[in-house]
Amino acid sequence: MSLVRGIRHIRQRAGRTSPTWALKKTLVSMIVLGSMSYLTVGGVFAIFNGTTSNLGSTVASGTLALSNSVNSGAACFSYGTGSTGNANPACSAFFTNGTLRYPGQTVTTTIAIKNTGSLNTQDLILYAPTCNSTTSPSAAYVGGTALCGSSSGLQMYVQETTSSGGAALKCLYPTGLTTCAAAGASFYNFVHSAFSVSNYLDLGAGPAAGATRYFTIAIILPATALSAMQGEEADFSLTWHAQTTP
Amino acid sequence: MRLLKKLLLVLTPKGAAAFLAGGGTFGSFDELAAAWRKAHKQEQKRVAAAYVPRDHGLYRAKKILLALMAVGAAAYFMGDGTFASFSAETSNAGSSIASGTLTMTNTVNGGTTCFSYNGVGNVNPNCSAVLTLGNLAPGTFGGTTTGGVAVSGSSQIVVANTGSIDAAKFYLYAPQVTGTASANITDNATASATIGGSVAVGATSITLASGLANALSLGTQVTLSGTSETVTLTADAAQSATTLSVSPTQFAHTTSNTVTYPIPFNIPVNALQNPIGAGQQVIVKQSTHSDIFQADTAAPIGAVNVHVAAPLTPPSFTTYTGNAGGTGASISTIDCYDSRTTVGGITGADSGTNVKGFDTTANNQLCGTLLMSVQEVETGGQTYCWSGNGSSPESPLGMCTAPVSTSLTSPITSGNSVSTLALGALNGNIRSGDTLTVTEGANSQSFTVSYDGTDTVAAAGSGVNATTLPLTSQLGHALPAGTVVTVGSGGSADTMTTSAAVLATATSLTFTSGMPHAHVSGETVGYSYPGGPYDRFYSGAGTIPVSTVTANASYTTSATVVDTTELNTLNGDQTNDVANFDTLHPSSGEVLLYPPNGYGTLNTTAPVWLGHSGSSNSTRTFYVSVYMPKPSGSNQNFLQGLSSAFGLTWHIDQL
Repeated sequence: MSLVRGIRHIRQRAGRTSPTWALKKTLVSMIVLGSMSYLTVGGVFAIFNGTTSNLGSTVASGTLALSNSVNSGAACFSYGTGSTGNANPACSAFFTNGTLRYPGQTVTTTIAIKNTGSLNTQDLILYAPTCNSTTSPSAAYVGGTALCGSSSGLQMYVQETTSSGGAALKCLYPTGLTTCAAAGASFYNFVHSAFSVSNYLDLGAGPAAGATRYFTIAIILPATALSAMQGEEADFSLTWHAQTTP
Repeated sequence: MRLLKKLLLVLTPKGAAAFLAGGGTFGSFDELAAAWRKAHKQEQKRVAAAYVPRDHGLYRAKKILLALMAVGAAAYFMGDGTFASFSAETSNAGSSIASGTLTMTNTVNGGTTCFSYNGVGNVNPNCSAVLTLGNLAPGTFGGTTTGGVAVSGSSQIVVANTGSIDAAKFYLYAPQVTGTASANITDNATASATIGGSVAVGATSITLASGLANALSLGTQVTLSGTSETVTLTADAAQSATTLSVSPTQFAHTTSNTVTYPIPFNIPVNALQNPIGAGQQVIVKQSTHSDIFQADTAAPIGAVNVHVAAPLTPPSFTTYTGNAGGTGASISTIDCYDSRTTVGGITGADSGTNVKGFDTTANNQLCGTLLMSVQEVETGGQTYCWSGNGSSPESPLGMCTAPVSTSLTSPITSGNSVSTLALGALNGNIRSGDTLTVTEGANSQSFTVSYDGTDTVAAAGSGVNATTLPLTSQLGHALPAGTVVTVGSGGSADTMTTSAAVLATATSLTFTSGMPHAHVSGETVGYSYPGGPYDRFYSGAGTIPVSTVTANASYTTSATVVDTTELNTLNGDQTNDVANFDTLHPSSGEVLLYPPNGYGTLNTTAPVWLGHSGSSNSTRTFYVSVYMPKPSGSNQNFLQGLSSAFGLTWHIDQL
């Protein structure tokens, strides 16, 4: 009962004659609006929506890798042991010192360059990053002509063939013939014009993905070689570089 | 009526009181009424002291409430209406209130339509992949399927509202997974193996007495006991391997020592709302701590565990907590993620597995290299570049830089003068001034796309007051509404204004008013347009004008045509990659797909962004293009043999 009286008392004090009547009405309105807002915000999530997702798109890059086989030996992969970033400097040497013994002798070696990747080679280049002149370890006499130097009488050619040691396809150094001339062209000119990825002998497009190109490299000690070339040695390397763009 | 009044009288509180006070036995209503009046007077006297004056605030309310009670009571008792009187009644039965639908579809390259309602809760995460593109090479647009079939580097996606309700909002975002751990995460699980032979200082190989319980990847840190130290694996170690290649040891170790290494484990999660793919990175975060793991198996929607591979490095935090209430550590994914290919791009070729000595999945670098664009093209000439090169700032005419690789549809004969190229369908954009390179075998020639700005009236001609003008060929240039066109020459020339935007493939123009003169076949149609020399968007086959040159060789319809200008622009772009899209546009940063209302312009106040089924704006068409750029400088071998997986989510809201 006391509660009822209390409420009645409040209501009488809060009647239309109360000085706070207008204020109280405003506050009550705000309470009502606030309550509605609360309910309305909650209802924003009760809308319709729809979603479709295209998941699982895949975009995969291909591969470009080379294997290098000297005289039909074991394949040396660009990503194999000793490689860094798909460049393998540890493949077999073409020749060993002492191979050339006397003027008029030509030594050759074959090499198969296979594209083991999935992307076609748009350009294959060849260059000699190093060529160091030295003397033969066992030489009894040293003539004094540096074989990598401009006075070197060494000759060379690069012959592309249909298979390892097969028919001539195109002479790449010197250029212009199908079959390279036995005399070849200046070894010095080669190592001094093709020595980097920017200065190279362009072998053209290919091999395509999965394909192999075959080459024969010849080094020639001309029959006219002077005694000044005796006891000399050229230590050089050749790099085969393939890329996916011309 | 009188009877009714009496009945109402009885049904009032005082009437009821009088009825009860009289013992409930009255001979008539008049007798009851008299009793009521008597009781009423007594009551008036009794409550006089408590009288509520008319000016009291409750007076009116009381009256209204009493009246309502009376009416309600009357209605209750009279519901059956059993009176011996005339009556009439009508009923509106069978009213029904039905909700509408807001559903959507998503169709990739005209394939199978994917419905939102075929998923759980109108959310379908299983629509077709936008692109499945393999064997990509830098600088080449497009790739192949695993079967070696050539695949375009772009796809069309048509999104439609198939419901009955307009969508007021339409969004695009990267579908990243978010969730929470359902239980504490034990992420420091390890296993140990006993060293099988003495290890010297500086050793780079460790022999184990027994095989590894699980495979370990290059870069994994393992701990050696004895004089404790941590070394890093320098090569992958297969499960059951008994030899580890490691970074040089700092201390010697004996056969009584052990190697402790991480093992795979489960991350307990509250049911996933989106799937996680095998290889996808999973980020666990709580407070200021976070660690990234890699899922080693796929976790479908609803999965409560995500199995992750052994981490390369020990987690930064080992007390991630979780609970079923969803307040534990957060679990999220990066949408685009890289993995190594396990099958070569062509049969027998090296895959990512072979070249893992120099490629890397670290930091999802392929995702961060692949350039993606999202181009919208509507048949009415509304275009917009939503993402990619050309979107920020928006390029004129809303044209993304999107590569084109297509073929000739008509051969070119060596020595002939060439002023147009007949091209197959365009899977990208071409603009005037671009260089198109035609290649076949060892032959190649470049052509520059020109802007002619003229056409001729088609054979049908047009009559006086005609508002449509037929053309002999495709425009070759997109024209916005409002373009001024001159038809004919001399005294019969008409200067007209186009009423609607048209695409480059249009073969007629529509004007805002009728042409004052008739025009016949062959008359010249000249036009200019604001916004620059822009040409074709993704479109069907057609001809395109080029600066006249003599063909340097013969080219058949097998010749490829590449827009090298677009490619060169993209080759210098290091911003608009897929990873960047993921970063900018997760679900909380979605792209707001306002409806475009012209070339590169949007109606940002449109109330409807994707209209209900059957409406004129119920579908919208997008083209997604991905290109692997070829930046100048160093090689990109670290990106060989990788596969980036990513998704796109399209979402509509009623409000």
